[in-house]
Formats: sequence, C-alpha cells, structure tokens
Amino acid sequence: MTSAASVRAPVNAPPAAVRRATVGAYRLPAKVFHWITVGLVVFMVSSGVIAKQLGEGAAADFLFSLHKLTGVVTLGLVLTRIGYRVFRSLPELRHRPASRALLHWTLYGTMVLVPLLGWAGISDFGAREVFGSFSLPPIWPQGAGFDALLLQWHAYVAFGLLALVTLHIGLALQDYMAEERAPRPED
Amino acid sequence: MFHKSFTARVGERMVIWGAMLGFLLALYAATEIIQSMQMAGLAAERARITKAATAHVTANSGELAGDSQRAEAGKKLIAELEAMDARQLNLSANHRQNKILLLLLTVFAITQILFLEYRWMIKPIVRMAEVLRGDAHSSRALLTYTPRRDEIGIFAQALTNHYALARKQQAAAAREQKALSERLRQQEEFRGESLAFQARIGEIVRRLESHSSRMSEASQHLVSISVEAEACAGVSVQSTEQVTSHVDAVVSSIRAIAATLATVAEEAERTSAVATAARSAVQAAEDDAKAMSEGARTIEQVIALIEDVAEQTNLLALNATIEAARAGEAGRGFSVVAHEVKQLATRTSQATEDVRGRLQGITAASGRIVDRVAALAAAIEQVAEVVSAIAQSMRMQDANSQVITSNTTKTADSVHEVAATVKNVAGMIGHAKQAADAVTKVSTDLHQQAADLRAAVERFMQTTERVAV
Repeated sequence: MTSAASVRAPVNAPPAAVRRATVGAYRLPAKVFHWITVGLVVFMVSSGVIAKQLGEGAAADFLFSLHKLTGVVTLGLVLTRIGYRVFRSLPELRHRPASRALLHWTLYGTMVLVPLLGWAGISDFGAREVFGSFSLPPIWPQGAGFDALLLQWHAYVAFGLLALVTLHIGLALQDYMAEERAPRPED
Repeated sequence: MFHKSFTARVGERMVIWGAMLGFLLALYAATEIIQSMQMAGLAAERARITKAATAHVTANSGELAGDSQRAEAGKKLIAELEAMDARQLNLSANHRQNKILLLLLTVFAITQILFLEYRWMIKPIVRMAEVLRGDAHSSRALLTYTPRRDEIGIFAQALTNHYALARKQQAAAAREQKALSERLRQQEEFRGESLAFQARIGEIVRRLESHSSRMSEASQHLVSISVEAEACAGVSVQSTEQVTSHVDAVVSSIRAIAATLATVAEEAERTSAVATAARSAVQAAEDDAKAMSEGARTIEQVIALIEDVAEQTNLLALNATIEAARAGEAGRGFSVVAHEVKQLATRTSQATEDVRGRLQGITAASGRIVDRVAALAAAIEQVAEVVSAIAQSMRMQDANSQVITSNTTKTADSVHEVAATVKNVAGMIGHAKQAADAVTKVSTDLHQQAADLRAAVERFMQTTERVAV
C-alpha cells in the first residue's frame, strides 16, 4: 500500500486486510455454523419466552421439553463450533481488530453459559425428563435449593446474549459498509 | 456471512432492523396475548368458584344439611380460591419477568439503532451539508465517507467528484483570466509604444525640415567656395610646375657629387692596401734583424768554447814542456813540438779575440737596424691609420650621399605626384561646383517633402489621439 493511499484511507475504517477478512471471506463451514446458530438462538429465545409465559399446561410442557432438547443440541453445536475455531485456525480472522475478537468470544462464552445455567436449574428443580420418555443427565445436585436463582439468571444471561447479538449485528453492518469501493478520481 | 452484493445500504439495514424489532415485538405481543388469555381463564375460574360459593351460601340459608358437611364444603371452596391466587401470582410474576426483559432489550436495541444510524446517516448528511454550504474548511472532510459502499458513500463520492471538477474549472478560469489580463497589458503597452513612435516620427520630421533648409544654405555656400577654389587651383598648378623643375636640377647635382665621392673612396682604399703591404715587409725585416742578432750571440758562445780549448791547449803545452825537460835529451824533440803547440794556442787565442771584436761591431749594427726598422713600422702604421680614417669617412659620406640621392629622388617623385594631384583637384573642384548646384536643387525639393511629411504625420497623430481618447 502506497503512502498516498494510506493518507487517503479513512481514519475510523479498519485496514483492507480486516475488511477482506470480515466480509465475504468466510469459508462454507463457518457460514453453515453461523446461520444454524442464528436459527437455534431465535428458536430458543422464542420457545423459552412463550413457555415461561404459558407457565403450565400441556402446551407449556411440550414447549419446555422442546426447549430442553434444542438447548442440548445448541450447546453441542456451540462447543463443536468453538472446537472448529480453535483447532481449524482461520487465517482470514488473524488481523481483525481486538474489539471484534472480544465480542465473538463473549458471544461464544454466553452461548455456552446460558444452556448450562438452564440445565443446572432443571437439575436442581428435578425436571430433567423430556416429553416424559427420557431424562437428561443431571449436572447439578437435585433439591439444592438454587433452582429459582439459577433459572432467573438463565433468563437474564439469555437476554444479555440478545443484547450482544444486536451489537454484533451493528458492527457487522459497519464492516460491510466500509468495504473498499472503486478508487476515487484524481483531485 | 452475507452475499458479496450485500453492502449494508439503507434499505438493507432497515430490513435487518425491522426483522430484529419485529421479532421482539412479536414475542412481546405473544406474551401479552397469552397473558390476557390466562387472565380470561382465571376470570372464568373465579366466576365458577363465586357461583359455587353463592350456592353454598344459599344452601346454608335454605336447606340446612348439617354443620360438618357445610364446613367441609366451605374449606374446599377456600382451598380452590387459594390455589387460584397462587396460580395468578405465579403467572403474573412470569409475565412481569418476560415483559421487563423484553422491554429492556427493545429499549437497548432501539437506542443502538438510533445511535448507529445517527453515526451512519445523519452525521454524514450534516457534514455534507456543511461542505455544500461552505462552512467546512475543505471538501476533504468528505474523504471519510467516500470508501463506504452504501448511499452515503455514493453521495460523498459524487460530491468529491463535483468538488474536484469545480477546482479544475476554477484553476482553468484563473489561468484564462491571467492570460486575458496579460493580453490587455500587452495591448496597452503596444498602444503606448505606437504613440511614442508617432511622437518620435514627428520629431524626426521637424529635424529633417531644419536640416534640409540648412543643407540648402550650405550647398549655396559650397558653390561660392568652389568658385574661389577653382581660381586658387589654377595658381597652384603653375607653382608646382616650377617646383618640379627646381627639384630635378638638385637631383642631378647631387648625383655628380656622389660619383666624385666614390672615386675618392676608391683611391683611399688603394692607399690603404699599399700601406698594409709596406707594414708586412717591415715586419719581415724586423724579424730578420732579430734572427741575425740571435746568430751573433750563438757565434759568441762558440768563440768562448774555442777560447777554453786554446787555454787548455796552452796548459797542456806547458805540462808537455815540463815533462820534456825532465826527460832530458830524450825529450828534446818533444819539447820542440810542445813549443809549437803553445804557439798554436796563442795564435788561436789571438784569432778569437779578433773575431769577437768584429762580432761586437756586427751586433751593434744589427741593433741599429732593428731600431730603424721599428721607427719605419711606426711611420707606416700612422700612414695606414690616416688612410683608413679617410676611407671610413668616404664610405660614410658615400652612404649619406646615397640616402640624400634616394630622398631627393623620392621628393621629386612626390612633387610630380603633387603636381598631378593639383591638376586633378582643379578638375574635381569643377565637378564639385556642378554637384553643389544639384544639391541646392535637391535640398529645396527635400524641404518641400519634409513639410508634406510633417503635415501627414500631424494629421495621423490627431487621428490616433482621437481614437485613443
């Protein structure tokens, strides 16, 4: 990159390498992981909120069972994704700014924490069975008395995750917007 | 994560924000609907219990079925009411939590959308408006937005192009104006120069006029002078002819003198040669006299030797006499021989004395000869000196007379040339007179022409001044 071009580059935009890395440069597995995660998170939030709102009855039980099952799947998917990110190093992400990396790892951590909080809550409460046919393995002692607190924080952290997702959308849009255009005319 | 064609334009952003807020709103609406349905269910339940309680109270007033049965029915009713209250509390707590969390998230999302869209859309529009209004320091403020791929980037790019074009046009206009002012300045300069040129022409014409009148006077003067000169030239021709004849006479006299001098010089040369020959003869005589004197000295040495021999011979004769006497009678003959030898020695001695006397006479005579020859040589030397002085003088005189001759000849030539020239001059003066007459005529004509030129120039100047003013 010549010095003239670096002078003309806007101050608040990331360097060209970062823009290439953040926009349109992801590999297919990364894209598949991302959009499956999006679908799962939307479903989990919707089912969780509505089941909580229903509170009781057959519909609520069905939704809770579905929520638990999907939550386990989501947890597995997120852990797989983290493993993919850790062991399959992505060179296109090497030069992204620290704020983006921090946000991504916070998102990953929150997406692990929220299912674990929910799972611990139902273990404590004693509601591990799914569709009345089988039970999830306990990860927390039953009847320890923290069930209300755990499930409350399950909801809080889930909404915190949604706030992080909105931030993630905003920053991604900014990166798409800052993609290099055709060169400016000579002035 | 999106396709390459996705550039986060305003429309695309609005779709995403709409989906986000729509999802939250849909969830919120679902919780509200479910809650209202639950409230309706609770209200129906309450109505059922109220109806049972009313029946219970009516039965209490109407048909008395015993205290224990009534008490049990009342307890059942109360338990149902309590269970319903607990359900209601639980449901409303769930509803409150969902409502609060959803509202907080929605507020966060809206705040973020407003903040980002302010940064992405409103702020750039304000900045661009400032640039367009001229408040911004320069259009370089737009360069922050030109790399963007959304509508703001397109606007900023267009504005940047516009300003670049405007700058180019301004620069071109400035150059054109500069060239125009340069042309005006040149025209002004040219007009000034042309006015100065006209003034100079007028000045030259005035001078020409005065010169032509003066020339006319001068040529008339020249005519009168040339008439006088013609007369003088006639006199000069006669004088130079006389001078020429005088100079020729002088030249012939000088040539005769030169011939005489040459003869004298030759005589002197001859005398000098004779003197030189005499000097060499005297030198030879002197040498001979010296050789003779030397010979005399040699003879004297020989005489001295003979004298020695005679003396020794005398002694020998004496010894022989003594020995003969001692020998007695036997030596009587020998004594006679010794006596004869002694006489011979005495005669020899006398002869040598005689030779010595004569030799001295010869030596004295040769000394005198040497002296005389020396005197003769000195006299010849003086003669030679005088002769050579004469010859040198003659040579110098000859050179001088030759210089004089050549000078005089040259003078004669010059005088001849002068005479020819004077004749030519006389002829030329006649021509000059004719020329002066012609000049007089021409200068009169020139005067007229200058007057015409002045009139023309004055007319032209009046015209140009009118035009210039």
